[in-house]
Amino acid sequence: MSIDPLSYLPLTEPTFYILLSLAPGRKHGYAILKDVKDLSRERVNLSTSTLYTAVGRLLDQDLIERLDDDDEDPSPGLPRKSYALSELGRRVLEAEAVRLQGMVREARLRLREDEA
Amino acid sequence: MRGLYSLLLYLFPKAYWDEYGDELQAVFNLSLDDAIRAGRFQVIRVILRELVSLPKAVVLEYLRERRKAKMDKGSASYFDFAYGSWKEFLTALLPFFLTGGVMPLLKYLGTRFASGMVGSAIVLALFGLFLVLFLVGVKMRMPRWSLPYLGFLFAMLSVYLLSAFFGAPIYLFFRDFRDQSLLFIDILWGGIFWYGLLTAMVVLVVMSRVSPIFQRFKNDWTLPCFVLYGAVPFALWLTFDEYVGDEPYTLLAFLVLGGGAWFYLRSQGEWKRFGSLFVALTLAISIAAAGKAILIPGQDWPFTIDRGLVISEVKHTIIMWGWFAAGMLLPVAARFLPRSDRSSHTIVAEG
Repeated sequence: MSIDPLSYLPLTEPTFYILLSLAPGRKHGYAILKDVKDLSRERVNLSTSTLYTAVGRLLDQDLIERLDDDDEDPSPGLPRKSYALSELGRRVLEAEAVRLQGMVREARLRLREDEA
Repeated sequence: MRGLYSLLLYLFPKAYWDEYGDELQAVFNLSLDDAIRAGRFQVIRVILRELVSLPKAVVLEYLRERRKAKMDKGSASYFDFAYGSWKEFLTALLPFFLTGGVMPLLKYLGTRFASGMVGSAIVLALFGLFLVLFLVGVKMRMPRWSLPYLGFLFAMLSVYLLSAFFGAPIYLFFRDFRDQSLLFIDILWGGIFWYGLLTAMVVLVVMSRVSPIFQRFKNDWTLPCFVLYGAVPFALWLTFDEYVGDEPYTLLAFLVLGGGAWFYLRSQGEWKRFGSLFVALTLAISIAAAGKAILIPGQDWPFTIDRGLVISEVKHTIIMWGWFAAGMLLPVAARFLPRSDRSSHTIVAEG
């Protein structure tokens, strides 16, 4: 049975950025943390525990996958697990991007009308 | 600070700590390393952020764990029947009594209302229910009550899917003998629907001897017999297809099958359990054969109905019994094969 990605929307800002951070490929927890901060221009600055609470929820929802690190000689101090966007997660992210795009388009049109 | 954070992580639920503790610590350490490089102010900021957010995360994880436990309990324990309880009996007997009840109902609907849609809906609902109970059984690692559902599924796959696979070579090799009245040809043709089922039985018996996952089937060799027994309702369903007036024989045959399953579930000794299945199988198919012999002369079929047809139909029903009996005897035969040492080690390892 196919799950409707729209049923997950709207995403919260941290969730959106976490999924967006994983869009190019798998990442460790710390890389996600830094990427979310960069992507949001420091607006979303997650703590470690908040990140992992969100990660746990996204795993439960099958939006991301937890993977064993296949690097035989991982860098010291780095977590041995990484996370990747699932197929469903990608569809949800795309659906959210379309939703946000639509909102922005409508807002621009209305604001332009007001200016005119 | 790293040590304090490590201690604070113990506040999380144990399972969560086991799973994510190392990761949380590693990410915190890396954040702190970065903050140290950025200056004292950044270190204070990181520590405050972590300390403020941690209690909320701990509470959320406890709630999540509780929610998960509730969900697991809700779906699994509902079917976690005690061995020998009436719920276990009822669920195991359902395929026999429900199929036995639905067949006459379908005939009634078909003849009185010619209602194809309603009939199809009933059949779909019945098979759907069996499928759901089978899947629940799989999730619960196939407890005793779920085995007849596995047999029913094997029978359906054997008839609708595997009969073509097994039938093709038999047809190619023996088509020239098809019209000759040779018993072994009749036996071969009569088994076409059931070769898949027998193959599944062979796999079950072999796997029970070599794989620890199937160890339970070896410890109680009657369990594969019970799987096969679950296929009999489907066989009876097929055997009375196209017949009119078979309801009393169908009901009686299914009553006997249900009785056999009931004796199986409540008997202690393995031979008693096997005996109840084998006797009930034989009785139920005998009733079907007798019913056919009585019913055929009165059927309104578009071809000649003579004594030869009666003999042929009864013979094919007996042949079907033969294939089922052979399948049921497979675990008995396997029991007399020499036991491998590996199995005893496996039992110890599993224990």
